[in-house]
Amino acid sequence: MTFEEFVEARLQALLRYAVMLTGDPHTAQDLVQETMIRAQLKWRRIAAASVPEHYVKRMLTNAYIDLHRGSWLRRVVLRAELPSEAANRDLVVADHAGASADRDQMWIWLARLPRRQRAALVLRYYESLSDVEIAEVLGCAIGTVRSLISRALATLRTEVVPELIGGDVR
Amino acid sequence: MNDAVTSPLTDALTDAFARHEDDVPDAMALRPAIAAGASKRRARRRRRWAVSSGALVLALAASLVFTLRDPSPPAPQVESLVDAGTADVSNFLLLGTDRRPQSAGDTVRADAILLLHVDPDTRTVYQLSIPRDLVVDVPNFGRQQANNAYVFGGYELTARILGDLLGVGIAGGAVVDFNGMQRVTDAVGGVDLCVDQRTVSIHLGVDATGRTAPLRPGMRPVVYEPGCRHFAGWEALDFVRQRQSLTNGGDDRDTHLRQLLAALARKLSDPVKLAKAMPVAGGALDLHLGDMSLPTLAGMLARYDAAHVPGLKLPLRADRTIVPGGDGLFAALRNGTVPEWAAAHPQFVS
Repeated sequence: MTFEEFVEARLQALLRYAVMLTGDPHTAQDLVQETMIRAQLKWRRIAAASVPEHYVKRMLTNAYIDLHRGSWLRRVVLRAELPSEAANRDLVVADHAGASADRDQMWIWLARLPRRQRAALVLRYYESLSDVEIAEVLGCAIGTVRSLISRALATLRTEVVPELIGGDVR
Repeated sequence: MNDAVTSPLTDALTDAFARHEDDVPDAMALRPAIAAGASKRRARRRRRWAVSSGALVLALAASLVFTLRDPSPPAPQVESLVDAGTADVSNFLLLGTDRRPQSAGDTVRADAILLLHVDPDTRTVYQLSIPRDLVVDVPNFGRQQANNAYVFGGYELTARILGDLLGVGIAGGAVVDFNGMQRVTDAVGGVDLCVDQRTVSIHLGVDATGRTAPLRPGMRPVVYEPGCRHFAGWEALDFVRQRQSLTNGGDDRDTHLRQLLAALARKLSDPVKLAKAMPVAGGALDLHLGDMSLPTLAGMLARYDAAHVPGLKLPLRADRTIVPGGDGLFAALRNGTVPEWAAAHPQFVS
């Protein structure tokens, strides 16, 4: 598969994945652009991988996880984190009546999760990947994938869910 | 609770992701930026490596050898085409790529680009160098350096873009990499070259024990001093790759490349050497001959002069764009009047 064919077939899907990771279309575009530039420069190596898309997804995920380290994409601020803590607290307090009005509390809480946990959630519940595939993308053991997901779900359960789903967390 | 089983929480997660699908922008908008960013970064990397396309010269030489001395009988219908000076069969493209064994994972550019023009009247093959940094329009990728056209679309795209740019039909061509060029040069026992200016290698050095090895800090770089001498394959290739220490950079390197190809063509006019080089060249060259077979092409070119392979430079303005119409060169390429053009423009002939 050539780089052009890959772009043709998978760029939109990668951008969707990046939006789910970062929670923000602009950051997602920067992330995808940077990752694809790197991917194009090392395309031969990627094309030789068993699943080139997983390779690129891994590059993208690592770039996302590295965002806060400022090692690259320094100019980018993760916009999902822009609302101050106080503003978020207000939202949570203000909205417990109108559940549908702010289902996007889920989005806010996702932004507060550690990035590897969020990546694991996106790969499982958005991309519908198996534990094995998630481990490949995240570059970790399968057991780590399971613990990332269960810790993320535990956080969401205690913090978000009472308002969202009427307390039925079991 | 098993994470793999759905629950109200995981349903809410799935819903949240689904809702935000509306936020996803159109990825098409990113494509120009990706292409531009990659080529910018390649330029940076290129400066670092100063990779050159000695391979181009070698490729030219190898293909000349092929074409000039192949013993296969000429195909009559092609003979008549050549005699008629048909534009369709008078231009061939040689691309030298910088692919080397240690860079298997990296993008390959065509850093050496040569148009071979055959003139049936004088039985001369002209080598026209296309500067690697000439700006061309690449469909879907905007304005790019000529050597990047190969990255986006390989030989076919490069040939189409250059054919349009020069207004000539390109009948076929070949792609050769650095390694292949070196093997061909070694197969003919090296070449005789005249160094016109002191050339310092940024690739090879001499270590403390006097051995030549890839240049590392602390080593003395290999230097090619002016003068004529015999070059082994590795030396010849390293010499024609260098451009940073040259007065006119890439343009001077293109001159060295044309020199090497001409030297190679002379060597290959010896049937014994040609016989040794043929099997090597077969593996080193990636041929793009379209409807033409190699024997046909060889037969066509067998009558050309291997001892005299003049080089031509593209008339450029100071900003590295082509003088409109190439100062008459494009018309000459189309009309088969290149010898007259070369006589009238000696400053572009080497």
